Amino acid sequence: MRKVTGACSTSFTMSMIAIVIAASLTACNGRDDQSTGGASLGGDFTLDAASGPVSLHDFRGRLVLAYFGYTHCPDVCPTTLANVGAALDMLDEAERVKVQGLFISVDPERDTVEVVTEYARYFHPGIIGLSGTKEEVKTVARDYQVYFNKFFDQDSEADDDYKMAHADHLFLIDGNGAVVDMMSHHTKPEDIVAAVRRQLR
Amino acid sequence: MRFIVVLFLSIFVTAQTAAAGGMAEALMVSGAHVRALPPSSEVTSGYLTLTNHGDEAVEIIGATSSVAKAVEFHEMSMHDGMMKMGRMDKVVAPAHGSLEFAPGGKHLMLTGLKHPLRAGETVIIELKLSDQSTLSIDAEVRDIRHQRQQSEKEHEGGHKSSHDH
Repeated sequence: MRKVTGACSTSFTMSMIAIVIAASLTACNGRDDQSTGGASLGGDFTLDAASGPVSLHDFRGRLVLAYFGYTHCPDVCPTTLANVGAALDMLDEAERVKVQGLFISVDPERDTVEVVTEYARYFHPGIIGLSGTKEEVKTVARDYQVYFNKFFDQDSEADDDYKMAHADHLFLIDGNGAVVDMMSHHTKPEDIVAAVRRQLR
Repeated sequence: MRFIVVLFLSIFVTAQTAAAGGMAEALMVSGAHVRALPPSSEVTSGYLTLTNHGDEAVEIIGATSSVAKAVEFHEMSMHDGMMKMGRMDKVVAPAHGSLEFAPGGKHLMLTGLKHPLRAGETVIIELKLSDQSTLSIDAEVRDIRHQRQQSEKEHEGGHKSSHDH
């Protein structure tokens, strides 16, 4: 059984490599479009939160800090979410009500809405955890050019013991739903705050 | 007074090299900590710096902890804008150098956590070296969240603890 999965994941990984290579080329274009005000990166979406379906347009008029990751990621995802949480704490109340954090799972197989909700809330009550079907998540991730793929370690024993390679972008989305800044897990809380304040001005 | 200092030093030295001997004696551990993550998390990461005072490189070929099913060495790397976590079979502390596990770089990945780790708790991690000696490390569990909301978070955690045993 394990052997079959291994074989599948190998071919899956191979095909993902091709997609990733193509993706890295379009990703560069995406950044160019973004800097010239193009609309190719990002866009509206609807995913599931604990409270029910949540769409980007629900936050019209507010800023959104959106990060794509997964809860089995012990290093960069918690770092980024802790930084977002710290940034939200550093804003004053009047600013904070104008900013919504979103944590979008790229691993919906393991990250149910309940799991991702608890995970996001742990870092800050102002971060909503979102998940969906594999297809839904894939579509949103593609729109944001967040490429990800699942891979297995060679000697991994269980079918659910896999890891995800994923793009590390923290998006700042303005009140009209347009991506206005891209940060990463390296971005310090004070720099996230500075990026937010630039938009609030 | 001198007795107390000696006693203190001997405790310190014993703690650092507990169950050691062999290559482990050349290593000094600093900043060892493990992240407290949401109670449902099955994985977390550990960080530390190993300083090798010896004349020979020390290979670390494995790690275990009683709180986790497995402890692996991982390294984050960036390829084409993708962060990928790669597993390493062994890591090396160079002679008269150091080996750092830090966020965004190398980390110890603890998988299959047996219970949710709480900030302030101490987790023991055993490093197995290539000469079969072991180095026992006390890693403090740390909350990585911003400190300002701490009391509120603890309050929240208190509610949750009622159903995790």
